[in-house]
Amino acid sequence: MKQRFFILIFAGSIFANVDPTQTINGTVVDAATNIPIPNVNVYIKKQSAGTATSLNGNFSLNYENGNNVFLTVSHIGYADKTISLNDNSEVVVIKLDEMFFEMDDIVVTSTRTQKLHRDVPVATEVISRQDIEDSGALHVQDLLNSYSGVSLQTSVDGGSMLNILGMDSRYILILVDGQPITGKFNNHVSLDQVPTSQIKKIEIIKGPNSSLYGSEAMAGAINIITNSKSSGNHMSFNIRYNGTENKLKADGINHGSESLQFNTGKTLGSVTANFSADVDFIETDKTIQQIDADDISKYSGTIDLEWQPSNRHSFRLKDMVYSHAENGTSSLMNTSTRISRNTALLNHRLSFSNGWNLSHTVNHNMYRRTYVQERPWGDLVTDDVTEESNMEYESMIQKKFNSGELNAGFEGSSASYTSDRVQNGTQSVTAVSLFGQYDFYLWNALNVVSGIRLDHYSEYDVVLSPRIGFMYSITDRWKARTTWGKGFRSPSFMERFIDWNHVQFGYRVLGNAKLKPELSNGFTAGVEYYHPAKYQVSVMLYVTNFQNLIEDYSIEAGLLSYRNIEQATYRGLELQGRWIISNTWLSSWGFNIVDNRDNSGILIPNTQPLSGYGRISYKSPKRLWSAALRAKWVGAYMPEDYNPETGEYEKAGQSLAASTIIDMNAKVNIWKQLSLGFGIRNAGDYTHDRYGPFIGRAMYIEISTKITGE
Amino acid sequence: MKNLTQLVLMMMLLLCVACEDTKDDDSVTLTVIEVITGDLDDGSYYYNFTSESEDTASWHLSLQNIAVGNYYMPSIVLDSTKVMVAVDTVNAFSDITTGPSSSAYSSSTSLVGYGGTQEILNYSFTTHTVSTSTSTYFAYILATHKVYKLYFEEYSAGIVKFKYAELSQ
Repeated sequence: MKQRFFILIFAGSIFANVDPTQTINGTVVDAATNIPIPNVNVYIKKQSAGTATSLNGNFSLNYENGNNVFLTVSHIGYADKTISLNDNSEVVVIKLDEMFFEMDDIVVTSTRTQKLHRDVPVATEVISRQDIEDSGALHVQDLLNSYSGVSLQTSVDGGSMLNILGMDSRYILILVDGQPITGKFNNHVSLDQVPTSQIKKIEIIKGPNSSLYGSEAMAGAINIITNSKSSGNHMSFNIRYNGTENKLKADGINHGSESLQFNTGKTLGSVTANFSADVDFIETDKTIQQIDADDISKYSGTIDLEWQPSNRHSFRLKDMVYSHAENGTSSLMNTSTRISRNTALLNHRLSFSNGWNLSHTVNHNMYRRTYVQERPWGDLVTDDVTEESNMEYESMIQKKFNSGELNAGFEGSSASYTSDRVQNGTQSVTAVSLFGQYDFYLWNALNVVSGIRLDHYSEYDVVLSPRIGFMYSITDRWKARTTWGKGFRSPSFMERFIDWNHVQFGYRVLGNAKLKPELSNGFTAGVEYYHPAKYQVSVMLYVTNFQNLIEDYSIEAGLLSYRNIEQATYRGLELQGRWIISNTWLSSWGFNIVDNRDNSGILIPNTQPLSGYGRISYKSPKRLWSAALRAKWVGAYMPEDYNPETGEYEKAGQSLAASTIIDMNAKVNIWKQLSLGFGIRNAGDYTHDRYGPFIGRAMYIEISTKITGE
Repeated sequence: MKNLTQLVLMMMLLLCVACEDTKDDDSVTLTVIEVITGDLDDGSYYYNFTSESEDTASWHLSLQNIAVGNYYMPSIVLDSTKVMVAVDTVNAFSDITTGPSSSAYSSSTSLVGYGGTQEILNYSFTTHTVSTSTSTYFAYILATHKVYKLYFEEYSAGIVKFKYAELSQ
């Protein structure tokens, strides 16, 4: 994106009326690998002359000969380089040093338009590709869990649910490339089903954002951005063997888990194709994980095709498939879980000559889960099938004016849910939405973004979600941001239509079709100091009020249902920092203070009031090896347990002591593009058999290769 | 490497066999009985240790769903009119050959039921699973003065698997 930015800046200047008296030809290569770098911006600022390198890294630039002519070479992910052309060099090879970390990333989530991270009026946290690699995490859940303010909670199906800032993940909208994920078992998305190998970066915005994204963006949104055209020509293969120490000691090295990842991308003329495949074979350790599964297999694949037949049109066709199989065996029960997902997306972008841009997308999501429980002697106990599908059409227009940038859009969707546990077996809902946003400068230093969204669901009232955000540039490096907005979450199919007898525990759950959407009303304010090459430090205060929260309650003994009743206030303080110590050392840290209380002033269960994380990583100048150390600390807190006799959460007998989880990993380049990696997760072997983490010390070793260029 | 490991292990095994104590084994051989209860979905399950069979009329141990607030929780119930109970939280079931002293027994058998201090079946509202205690339990039958050690191996969707053996006095 940065290349496009510079290309835009200098596009006019290329054709400016410069009298060419000299031509410089050259090649730009990576200093460590000597691999040519395409799309590098090459320009002479004083003469307003510029161009970009071709796929093989070559460029040719005409310029006016003279004294003090400096050629600047710039590319995202690399340190800028400026060379003098006073020696009248005609052919040059320019070597760029890879930057360890890029501060000036382009973000898209907080405004649905492309903006430089430092210029976005709504505070956005970015987890970069470098962060992902440093974490050693295989799945998004593991990755996010290493950050402060994030915790895991075991769900009824044995999997894990994410809590962010103490908020249940159903109040955080999870997007993949800007599109919602379908298939939320028990109203939650399983982020351990999203592999990190296909991710370019993750953007997180906190506070209500339904003005842009509609339902579920009550307390924030997480946008998982996958690899795309900018990945260029590449092929990579990665194989990892990992296991918990407990499991390895008990069952030997043959009972570890394996992960394989394969990614490849190729640009042919106007077409770019990317293909990714991930396979995980996991042997769980039931004695510590308390998960009712012995073997888990995960397969995921993505095909992503982009076609740009002209400067005006571009098309993107993307299909993501996921398959998940869990098998558990015991002397009393054999269980089998099968999950499949398919997300297909077709997008067309059209640029009009008058500056308007149109983007429209058709998106189809399918989710299916089967769960079978069978006694070893053949008696069938459970045979549940859940199917969910969602078809959505989205159209957005956008134009930049002198005064600002406008974008507006329309969404229409039809969703259906089929389950043995819902009334009539299948339920469906349709929704139409309109939204608009204007991003403008009120004064030179004051950027304002204001937007509103209208959502109309087929079975209940219209929901209006406004948002307004301000960014005031105190100086070039100091910025103050504040936003106010509303959010909502439409009741889930299960909350509205469930009809299920829990035979084992002797109660029945009946849905409530009259439920209203849950509402939120939130405010954030923060200050950021930003040095483009060194530091980024920010502090943010947030307060979000929730109304109409849906809770389960007892109509009578043995009969449960849902109702809108709860109110709560979530507030907290978040500090974050990054420090590029040098071109080889990088550190980042974060600290969260969370204070989430219901309307009686009682702390919300699962709130971890204090948490922090720190990371330091090193990458040798020639990229021969790299290492990272991460630590996450959670302060002492009083957990709460559900008491079935009172139907309330009650404080546990004693507080949970402070704990620290330490992860470390390293990678050594053993031969050209071949590297060997190894890591230790939870190095301190901290576990808690009641509140987690349930997985103790674990280690992995991996071999990976990556080939880039033509 | 694998073959070498196997060879070393076989040699060690031979060494152990060669050095085995050939004196008469005076260890106690106990008859361990394994029981898989009926499904709670079909109603409570009752078992008699003496007759080694399901017995709804005269039972020592029962698996029942008991009302707890708005829910029903699986619970192991011992008939306090017929049984006294003791708990060993230290020794493994297989290592125990004699019962505890008489003072260790309690007539308050509710301590092994749901919510008791030594509950056999525990429902975790954190992990939403029912697990079995790792302790070994002793049942003293008042009528026959026999002592049984009990171990509960697994609970799964309304069925419990346990084993027990009669101990010498």
